[in-house]
Amino acid sequence: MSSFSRSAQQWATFARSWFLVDARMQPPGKLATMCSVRLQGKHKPIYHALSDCGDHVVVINTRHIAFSGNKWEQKVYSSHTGYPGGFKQVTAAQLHHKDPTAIVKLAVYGMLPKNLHRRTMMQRLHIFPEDLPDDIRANLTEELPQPREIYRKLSEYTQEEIDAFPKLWTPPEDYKMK
Amino acid sequence: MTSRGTPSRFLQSVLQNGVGRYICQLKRISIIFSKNAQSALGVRDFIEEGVVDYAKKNPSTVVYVSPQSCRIPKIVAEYLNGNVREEIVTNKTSPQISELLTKLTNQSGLDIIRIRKPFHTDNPSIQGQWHPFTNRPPSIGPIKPQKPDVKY
Amino acid sequence: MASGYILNRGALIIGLHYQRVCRNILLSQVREKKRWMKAYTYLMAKKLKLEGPPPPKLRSQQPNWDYHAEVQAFGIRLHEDFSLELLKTAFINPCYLQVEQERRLGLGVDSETTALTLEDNIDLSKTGVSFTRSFLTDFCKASFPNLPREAVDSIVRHLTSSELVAHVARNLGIEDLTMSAECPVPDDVLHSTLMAVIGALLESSGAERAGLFLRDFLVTQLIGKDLFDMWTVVNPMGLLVEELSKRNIPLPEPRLTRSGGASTVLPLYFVGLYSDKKLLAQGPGETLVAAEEEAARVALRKLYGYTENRIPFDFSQKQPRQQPLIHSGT
Repeated sequence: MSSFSRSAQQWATFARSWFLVDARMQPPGKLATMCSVRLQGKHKPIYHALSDCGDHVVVINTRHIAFSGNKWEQKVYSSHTGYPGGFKQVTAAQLHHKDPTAIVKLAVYGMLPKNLHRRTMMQRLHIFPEDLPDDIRANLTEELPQPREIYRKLSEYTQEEIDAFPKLWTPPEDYKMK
Repeated sequence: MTSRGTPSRFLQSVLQNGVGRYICQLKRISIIFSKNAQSALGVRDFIEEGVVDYAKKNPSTVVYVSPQSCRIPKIVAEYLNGNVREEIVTNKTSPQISELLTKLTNQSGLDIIRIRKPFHTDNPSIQGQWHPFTNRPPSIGPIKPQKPDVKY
Repeated sequence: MASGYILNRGALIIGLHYQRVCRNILLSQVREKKRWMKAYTYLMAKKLKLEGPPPPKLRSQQPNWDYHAEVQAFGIRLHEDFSLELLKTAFINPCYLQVEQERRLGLGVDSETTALTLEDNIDLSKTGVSFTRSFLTDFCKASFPNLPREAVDSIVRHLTSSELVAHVARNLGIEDLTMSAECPVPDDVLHSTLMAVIGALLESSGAERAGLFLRDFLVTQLIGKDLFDMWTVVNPMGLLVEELSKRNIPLPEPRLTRSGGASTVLPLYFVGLYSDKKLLAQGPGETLVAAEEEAARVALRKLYGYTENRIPFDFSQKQPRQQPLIHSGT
């Protein structure tokens, strides 16, 4: 048991943590679920809907997120400028090329509750396409585990490892690898 | 949005009453009634039947019986913390008044307003209040982005 | 009231005039909308605004007051066996005696017939104060054997301070019974009165009952209080070093254990105090200095045994005995 003074206890209890998530090879939807829970503060035992107890979340390497299936081509982000004929539709690949943070940002924005706190909570979300700056690095308190395990690509294996891998059958001499 | 504008307080007792010993918080009760009004019939009955029993049962409360010419008989209860409650007993029967007196005797004299939570403690947590680092393994050095974790 | 009267007169005059016009109707009472009421209410509200609320009146000068019955009920209410003479003496303050004497002289009656034969409570108050001091000091020393002398002194000072004792006295209904010169009874008079009541209890029922009285009414005020709320320590780190060197424990080394939001305006640091590579205590703070100070305070609380999770005071040793039922007067 801690026995802190009252003011110090209050300061510690309601302090905002800074979480770090690495978005390399991660699906944006799973990232957004993690982020929105932390941004709302729902992971805390002291959570209350009326108290503003959300934490900060830093997402890095958003340039390297991964969509499954054919979402890069078929997922469409729509917007309307407000002018006649201003309806814009871009695919996920196009949007990601234009702004590498936009997909994660939109995913989190869509998962936050639709109320007046949404913009405030979005301000506590820090997204970086690559590495993070030093001033934010100093704030971090904890790194969150990635939602998906990253498997090695075939191109990342060395020739020795490939050779050492047990084979079901030995291809004949004249077998053509594609 | 219900009852947000109404006055409220936390559950409390006067001077930690009952921690050491229990003190009846009702210090004084005055029964004001008229000798001949119709509305004070029950009060007069009560004074004939029950007031002496009440006073004997509660020696810590001073009971004043004051006949006045008034249309509305009432019971004025004064509590140890200085609060005064007036209860109007027009057209009430003797058992009703006796019930009312019992209720007044058992009350603490604090304002009867909305109580925010039906429980209260001076020590809010047994294992210490939560803070963001509770049950967190210690980390050495500043937090860094991890290397891409290689899995087979 | 005066204007109401005048307005009533006005209504009456109008009524008389009316009577003159139609002679057979006698108008003695207006049973219509009371038109004078608005003006009267306005006037009273204005008067209240200008003069403020009326000065508070002593309960003894209000209707329904029987001093003897009240004093008797006071003793029974607290489940104590007071001797009534002593208890009545305890409520008489010297300031009241002085004012009462002057008032009687001012009335012009000769001083022999109206001489006051009352004692004041100075002696009782003195015994009460000294008993309270010694009892509370012993109690603190018994409950917290590790607490240093200054801390015990400041706890006792807090418990016997004028505001706290006056607060207790107000909530025990002593304010009504106190004979005082001024009407909202000032804190120091209430303080001396409660002390005199304790003195009277000491003389009538002995030290054990008086100790239980103090335990039940003054010591309960310690519940939920922090040590450093009552005891101001400017330099807890210095005190901790002193205490540790007294006990031959290696001196504490502060180390930053946790931090968050360090480059923002709302940083949080946890500083741990290690002595011989063992964690003494850790404390949170807004800055490193504040966190270190807090950690020292936590370490001191642990050393002195005044942590939040200490064993609470035992208030349940003896049941108050049954009092004889006494019929309270009407």
